[in-house]
Amino acid sequence: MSARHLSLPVPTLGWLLITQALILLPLTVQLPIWLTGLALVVMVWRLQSSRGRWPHFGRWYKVLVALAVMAGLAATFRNLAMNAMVSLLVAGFVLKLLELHKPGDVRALSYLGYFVIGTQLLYTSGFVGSVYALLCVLVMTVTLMVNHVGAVPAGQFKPIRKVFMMSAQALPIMLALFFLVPRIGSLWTVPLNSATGTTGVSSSMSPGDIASLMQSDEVALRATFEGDIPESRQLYWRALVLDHFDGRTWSQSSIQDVKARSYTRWRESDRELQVSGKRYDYEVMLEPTDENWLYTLAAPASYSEGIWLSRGMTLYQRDAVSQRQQYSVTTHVNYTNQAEGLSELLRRVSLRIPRDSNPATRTLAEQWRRQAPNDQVLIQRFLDHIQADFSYTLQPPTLGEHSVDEFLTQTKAGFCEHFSSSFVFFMRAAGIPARVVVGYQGGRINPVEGYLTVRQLDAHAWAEVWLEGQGWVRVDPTSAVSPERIDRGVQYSLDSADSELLGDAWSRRFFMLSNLQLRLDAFNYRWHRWVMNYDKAKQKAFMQKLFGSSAPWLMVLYVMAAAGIMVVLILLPNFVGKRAQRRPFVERWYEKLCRQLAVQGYPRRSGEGARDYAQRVGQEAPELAQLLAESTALFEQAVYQNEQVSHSRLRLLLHLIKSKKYR
Amino acid sequence: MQTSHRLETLFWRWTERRSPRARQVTLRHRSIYVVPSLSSLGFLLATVLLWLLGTNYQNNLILATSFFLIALFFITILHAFQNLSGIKLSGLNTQPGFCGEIFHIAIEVAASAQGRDHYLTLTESAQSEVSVVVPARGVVKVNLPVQTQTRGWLSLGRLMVKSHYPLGLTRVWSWVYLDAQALVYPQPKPAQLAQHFGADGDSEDGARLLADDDFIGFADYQPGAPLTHVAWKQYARGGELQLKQYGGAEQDSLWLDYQRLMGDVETRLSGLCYLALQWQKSGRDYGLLLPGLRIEPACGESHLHKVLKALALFDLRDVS
Repeated sequence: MSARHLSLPVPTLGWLLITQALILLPLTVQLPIWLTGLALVVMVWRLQSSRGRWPHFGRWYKVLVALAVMAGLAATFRNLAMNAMVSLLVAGFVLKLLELHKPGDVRALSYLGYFVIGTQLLYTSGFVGSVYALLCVLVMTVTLMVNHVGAVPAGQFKPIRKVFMMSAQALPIMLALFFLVPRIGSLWTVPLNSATGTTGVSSSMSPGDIASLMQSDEVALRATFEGDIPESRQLYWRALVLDHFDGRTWSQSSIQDVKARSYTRWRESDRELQVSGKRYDYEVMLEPTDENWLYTLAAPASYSEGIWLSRGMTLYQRDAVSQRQQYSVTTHVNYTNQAEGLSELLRRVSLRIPRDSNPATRTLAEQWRRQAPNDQVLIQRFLDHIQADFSYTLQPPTLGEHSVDEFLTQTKAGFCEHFSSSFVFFMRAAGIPARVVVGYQGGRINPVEGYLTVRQLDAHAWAEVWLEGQGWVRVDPTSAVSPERIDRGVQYSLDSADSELLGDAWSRRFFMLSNLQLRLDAFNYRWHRWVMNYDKAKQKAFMQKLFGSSAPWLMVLYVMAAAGIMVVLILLPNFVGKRAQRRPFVERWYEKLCRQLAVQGYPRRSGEGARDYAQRVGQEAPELAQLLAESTALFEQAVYQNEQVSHSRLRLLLHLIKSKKYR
Repeated sequence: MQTSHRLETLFWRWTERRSPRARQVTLRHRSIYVVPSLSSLGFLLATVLLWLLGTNYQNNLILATSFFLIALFFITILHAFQNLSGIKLSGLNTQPGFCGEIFHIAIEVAASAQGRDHYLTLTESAQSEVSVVVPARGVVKVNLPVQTQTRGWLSLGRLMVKSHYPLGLTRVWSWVYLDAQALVYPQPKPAQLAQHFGADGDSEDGARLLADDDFIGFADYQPGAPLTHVAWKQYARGGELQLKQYGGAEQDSLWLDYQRLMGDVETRLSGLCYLALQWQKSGRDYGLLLPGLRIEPACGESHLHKVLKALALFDLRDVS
């Protein structure tokens, strides 16, 4: 038993454990904590038992451990999401250590390791993460090589050097494959089930939802505009229209539910959306949300393939955004939406409020309705009212059953959620069709690259009302209370105690850090735009631009050409005859000396020793005797005693001997 | 069955043409074969799975990883070839030994001129496998254990030089026909020389060299005795069939006589071999008499070698 364990050499095991630790490190965030602990224990056990310090276990113990891990995984994950798959993979990757005896086992483990590195990249796709994954691949390859070569004769660095060399040679072929191998679309979908607290706005709005979102400074999306970026108060990134209120929570009615797919789609035939005015073209890179709605400025006129426009003038797609996704949109800031009239169904939905909720607000709304000559006046009156004695805060007092009543009459402090919710309720009670829109507002321009970064703390809710002849019009009651929120961003609209709650509170305190962060973000963004988003369309364009055609056979040809070039470069030395090994300087020098003496009439006899030769020539030509004696002594020193002799002295001697030629 | 055997023969003949038998063999592309190893299937499977993962999640980095692994695999093949290319194998002189012993055939492996380390395994048969690391520009001497059951010249069979370097994903090999030889003496087996019989009259050949001329007397006929030793005169006179006996069995100079041993050729040679070693130990002069071969009595190591060599090479047609 122990003999079998000892059969795996220590360097191999060492490299293997280091590689495993490197590979698993970034994955620990995704794994259940007990699996991480188990991995640690198993790795330490393997190390100690191979050194004979900890006992080995029998086969039944190992089977027991494996079964326990399976049971643990089954208990932790109830669905077959990606995290469960990765955990299973990691469990296998780690437990294989228990049964690791032959070099073949190490190879199998290494192959599995390559795949686990791939799963790393499902979660981290930034530049740093990519470099880290590459490092993992290289170290894994070194392990494979150490496993194969075994004891390395001189220096442990040989396998490392070799692996780096091979990787460098593999790079051109890899790039050719990367750019030229055709991309195929998704084959199946397994939800990625990223970390808890999925980012982005959710499909319903209850009190406190958005406030918790605002405590995160994670990036929600980045947008690159061709040309100008619209003013801050135009930057309303709409995601969902919430038009159903149950007294506490706003959610999507069946008309607006983007999960219902085609039913919610915008009817082209209606021609309800008229756009005009300045046009903005931009690309949005959305962080994974695990939801199927996208973010756009109003009103989108055209957008990437595979994206649909909803009846609420928001964008959505079939599948959830499980990876960073890029799409382009063209927006016109001037538009009219359903100006010709509201369908009976839509009107009914947009006016519906629960019968018994917030009686005080309903009474007030009906009263104001009677006093106002038209809708605009009523809206303005409401906005003036809240502007006068309401305040903006992220820590509002808790609200009871009739939340709108309490908010409007008692607490009078809150943030976008409260303002938009009560505004819409009030308008509906007053007979004006209204709805809540959620998404992000604003964003920060990255000074390095000039793109717009929208973070979770920019989450926002606002309102839309339908007016005769104008259609749906955006009204943001929050801006009435806190105009800075809209013009300069949420950081500038809060007092210091409140702004501590924001996600980026820490980094705002250190200017240097935030500057560095901006640079890093810019670099990452560029990496994503050019590397991560190289897709089928870009590939085609790239081929067209580079070779003038994107025919598949041409791609094959270029990949083969890249491979062929590497073959020639690597194997050329083998075929260009034997490169004569350059002999030491002293030997070449002595050969020259002999040739010189032969020219001067004293050829060396075959088999004649260096010293005999020098003596013979010295007797025949006394003027050379001194020089030859020194030359021979130096030569013997260098060749037979392996001593360092001055090369310049040797050259001088040869020169002097030459100069005696014409005496 | 017949055709497959013929095809196999043809195949080996073809490989031998590609790397002819020689005292020194340098591996070149003509005689180096590369195929992906069995375990590379696992590697390729991992690569394909990565490609599927990357394709499905439209993740370019995962795709890039799978492309990198494919490219690495390709590069590995080239390095595997280079690992064998240019190395020089030479057969060295191997110490002779006795039949049935394990021979260590000496082979010198020299690195290629390109200044690379070489990792390889030399295999002659299932039992003889030696792994060596040849340092850059260095030379390594390998003793390849080979077992033999026949005397004579032991020549190295088809030698396989193989390697899974660098990552174990490839299997690269070459069949080498190296002209490395070792002399195999017969296996020593205890034996005793039979009572020797004198010859009747003079004879020119060397067959009766053991005897001196002193006639001792008659002995009863034994079947199998040389006819020249039969006392024909007495028999013609009507007497018993008798053999003439001569003296001089105990002498300083001894002859190892093939004729005075019983059994088949191999048994006799084994017996002679055993006696030669015995007599060498006792320090006396001895000579060898084989049908058609005579080595004058002498002593010493080189004499022993001469005798044993004669025994090893005697009448090899029968053996092979």
